[in-house]
Amino acid sequence: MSPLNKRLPRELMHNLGKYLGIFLLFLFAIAMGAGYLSAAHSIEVIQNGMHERYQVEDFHFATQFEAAKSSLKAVEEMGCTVYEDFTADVPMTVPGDDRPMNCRLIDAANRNRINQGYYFEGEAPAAPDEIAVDRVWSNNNDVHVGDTLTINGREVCVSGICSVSDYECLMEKNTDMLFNSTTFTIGLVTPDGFQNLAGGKRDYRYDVILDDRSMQLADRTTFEQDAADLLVDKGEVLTDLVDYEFDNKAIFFAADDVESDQVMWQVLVGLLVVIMAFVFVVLTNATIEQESAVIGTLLASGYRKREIIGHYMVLPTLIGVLGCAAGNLVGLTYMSTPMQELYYGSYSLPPYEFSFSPQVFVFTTVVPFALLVVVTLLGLVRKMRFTPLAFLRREIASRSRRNTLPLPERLSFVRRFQLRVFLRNLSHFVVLFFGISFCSLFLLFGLCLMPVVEHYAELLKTDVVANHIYLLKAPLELDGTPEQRAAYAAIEELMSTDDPLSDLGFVKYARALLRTMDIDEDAHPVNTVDNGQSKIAQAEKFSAASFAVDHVITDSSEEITIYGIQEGSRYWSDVDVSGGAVVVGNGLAKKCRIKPGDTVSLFDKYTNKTYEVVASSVWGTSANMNLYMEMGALNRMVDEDEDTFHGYASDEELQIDQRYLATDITPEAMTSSADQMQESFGDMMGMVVAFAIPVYLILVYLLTKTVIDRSSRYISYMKVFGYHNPEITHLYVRAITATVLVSLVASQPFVIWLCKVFVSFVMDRYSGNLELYVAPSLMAEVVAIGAAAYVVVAAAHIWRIRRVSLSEAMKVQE
Amino acid sequence: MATQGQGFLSISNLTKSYGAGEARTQVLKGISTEVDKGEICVLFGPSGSGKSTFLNMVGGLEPADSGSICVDGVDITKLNDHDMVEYRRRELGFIFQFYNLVPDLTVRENIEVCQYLSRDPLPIDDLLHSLGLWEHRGKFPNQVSGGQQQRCAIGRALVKNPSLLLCDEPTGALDYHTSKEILELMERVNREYGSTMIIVTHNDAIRRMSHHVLRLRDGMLSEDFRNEHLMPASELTW
Ligand SMILES: Nc1ncnc2c1ncn2[C@@H]1O[C@H](COP(=O)(O)OP(=O)(O)O)[C@@H](O)[C@H]1O
Ligand SMILES: [Mg+2]
Repeated sequence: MSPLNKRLPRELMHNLGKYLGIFLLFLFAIAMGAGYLSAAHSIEVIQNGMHERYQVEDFHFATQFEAAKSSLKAVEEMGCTVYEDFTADVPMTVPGDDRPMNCRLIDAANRNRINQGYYFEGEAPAAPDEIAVDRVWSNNNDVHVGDTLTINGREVCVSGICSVSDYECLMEKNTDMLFNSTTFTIGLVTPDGFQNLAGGKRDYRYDVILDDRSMQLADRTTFEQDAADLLVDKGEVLTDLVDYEFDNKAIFFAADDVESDQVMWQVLVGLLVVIMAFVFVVLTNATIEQESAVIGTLLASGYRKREIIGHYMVLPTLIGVLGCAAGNLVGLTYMSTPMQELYYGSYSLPPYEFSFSPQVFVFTTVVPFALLVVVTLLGLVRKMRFTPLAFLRREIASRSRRNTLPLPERLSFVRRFQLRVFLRNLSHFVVLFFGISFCSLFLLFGLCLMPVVEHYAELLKTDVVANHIYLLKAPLELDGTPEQRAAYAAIEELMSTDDPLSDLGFVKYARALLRTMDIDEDAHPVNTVDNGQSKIAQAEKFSAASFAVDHVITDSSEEITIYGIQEGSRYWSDVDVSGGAVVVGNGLAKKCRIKPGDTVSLFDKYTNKTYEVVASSVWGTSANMNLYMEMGALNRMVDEDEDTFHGYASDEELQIDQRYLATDITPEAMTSSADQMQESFGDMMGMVVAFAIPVYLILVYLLTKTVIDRSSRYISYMKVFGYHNPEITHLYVRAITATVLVSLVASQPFVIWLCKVFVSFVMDRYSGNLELYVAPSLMAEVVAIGAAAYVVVAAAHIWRIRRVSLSEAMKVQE
Repeated sequence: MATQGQGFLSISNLTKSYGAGEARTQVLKGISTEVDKGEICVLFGPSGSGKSTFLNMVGGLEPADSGSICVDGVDITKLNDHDMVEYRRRELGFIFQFYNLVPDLTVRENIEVCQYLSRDPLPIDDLLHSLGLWEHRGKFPNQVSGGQQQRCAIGRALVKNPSLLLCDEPTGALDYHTSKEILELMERVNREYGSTMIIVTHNDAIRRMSHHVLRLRDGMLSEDFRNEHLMPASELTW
């Protein structure tokens, strides 16, 4: 063992701050990075395994009315098994909460066969008045086993808290932008319970398991389309066709979220690793400079360069190993739960199981550690080309011309001195600037997203041009004669039961049949309720179609709706669609980079058809992801009847037959979806800020500490000459303070720009167009947090300056 | 001008030891002496005899174990931290063997470091001229010779017009000619500014230009006398 090693403990104690800083930097970066990424990876593994393990459907379809057995049989003959999986959405209230909630009833027995569930507490419902509800929803509403819920006016007892694999995410409708785990839950009930609670109400959903479970997406969608065509041929009215992986948001939204968040964290950790490399460079140079006399003496006495390099590698390597170990330990134990909670708090996933990811380990541990070792080694090797004498004379610190810059004498001595400190440490300060920018980026990103989402909610609201946008499953006329209404009421009555003749009795049945005689089969059905002339007059028809538009940055696409509106519309009054014009929502235009004159490709994933339209103008807020064209033009484009329509825009609330109503979009509904978004981002952003502040502290501390350390000898001189500590602080710390504050403020435009790039990159995979808007107050907040963190660092420096001993100056200079 | 018998610096029974237990070494075993205002006082002694230790204690850089050091009637061993700094600031100038200049500051700026401390500093331009550094005032320490660096250090010590100059082997790193130049300069400083000087040195020849000679041996003063006849520094040889 080299006798030099005896110095190691002393070197460590002497540079405790530096090594502690490196240790903590590793600890934080790895604890957060590995903590998050491992949790995300484990969740991904769980999700990827679910399809097999929990018999998750390959796709499902829904029909307007119950499908004939023969139709289902025909589908099964294509090579699959079809499971009847009827659901019913029923109103529900929780004791002590008057918010109306929606409970989607599912036959519990079905969830043993397909899209299997798992009980976290309690058990499956055994009696008609028992129900098992979703874990996330029950958490959000403080509902426990044994509680009583009111569903459709009846009281039911919670028998279990569960999750089911086709509702990993409580997505009420597949067309919703966000999930709703506060007022929407699935409810597993017995068949009798279903009958009691739902009455005759049914959504006819059929889950399909393919014989070939490993079928690729493209083949599967073809299969699905063929099945759909077959069903339509058989006379079924198909209302939904959803592939589990391609477009079932309740299944893939969680996975998508995890995936897109991972991109964000990878970028964050990646940036941090780069900054760490810079810090290592600065610290290695500082060590060599500080140790130059010792190195020179050792070299002169015949030590080999290899031995010296080896010696100076010991401590950084050791600290790196310790930091990596501690970081992984903390990340995988202590941080694991809060990181899981980011997802388990929002998504109904099966119980967490840790899976080790070599990639995460390499990315968060091996790479930073290797960087530390390589950077330190290179730094040492590079400096070893100097002669022993150069070390002895301390000539190894690169003296560039800026150090010998003449400064005008009319500047006060203090100013010149501070400038000298600044010039001497310029390279540190450049790294400091980037370090500060980078940490500010973290902070800004963590802080800005909430206000951005709030702002977004406001915009979403303004984009809903009427108090109600009613989307219909099929055209339904509001206007009609009393005879027509009566005729359709009769049809509703007949359809509300499986066996009308026996259920209604012969007389009622016959009367109903008679009333339907008036129906004109070529005309649209008429609403059974008369909303009154004034309401009918202000309601305005529109048609709509859904398409996918490709994103620009990543390989993903945006689900958009194209509205066919009337020329001179009273609701979209300033959207000019005359003469075949196609108007693009501002958000869509920005996110997918569409300018007037550009051709937009609209992909219909149900039919595999692509339509092309030429954008003529841009309209609406930056959250508007819609397209607008003239109603007739849209109908012609998608090959529908000239007079077909899919909804009403109306300022007045309308009574619309339930069987036809798909959605009622209101401005308030938009706000609550943004609330959801805030909830799901909130914790994550808290993590980012919690990550940014300590990293900021350590980074600024390490980088500015070297400035004090390399000057400690001169600080000692000044003490000898009779400088008081505050005066020395003034000369040295001022220069640092000024640099930090100037960096903080000056980096803001750069940081905002970075943040914009970052946000657009991170957000590309999420739907909607979030515009980064940084309020001046937010910038002030970032600067204030940075400055506050610096106060702590400055206090450490002042303390360090106080500790510089007088004897340092007295040591015979090498 | 040397004025006699004012007892400007009065040291009595000064002791100092380092380490504890077995490793304890008594460096100073009870030193008493008087240094008058305006004197050049030279302190000899073999290497490791405690000369620097003595000087540092007078400079308030190291605490004494026992005894007293009175400067102008004030016992500096009793001063608190703040007053000790004030004492160094008002009364002292330091000159070191290896100059101890700040490498990032120009010659002028190095002197300004101490000018800043004084309420009534000497005019810096005059000082630069008289030290022969005027042409070099914008240069950095590594751009001038050792002698010039030491002159700069002397300028830095002088600029606040201290009453006591403490010089630890001021010529120790310089060649014969440069050493003589520096000694002449110090003699001139003593004459012109009347500053009291304590010079620690190995160089026996310096005794002949000094008013007061001290010799340290085994922790005690083995010699303590005043010279009757002084030889000008320019005539010294060794
Ligand atoms: N800080 C210290 N700790 C321990 N011993 C010291 C310390 N400073 C000086 N010494 C010891 O005190 C003695 C005197 O040192 P010093 O005053 O530097 O001698 P000189 O200047 O006469 O060569 C030496 O033996 C030295 O080893
Ligand atoms: Mg000495």
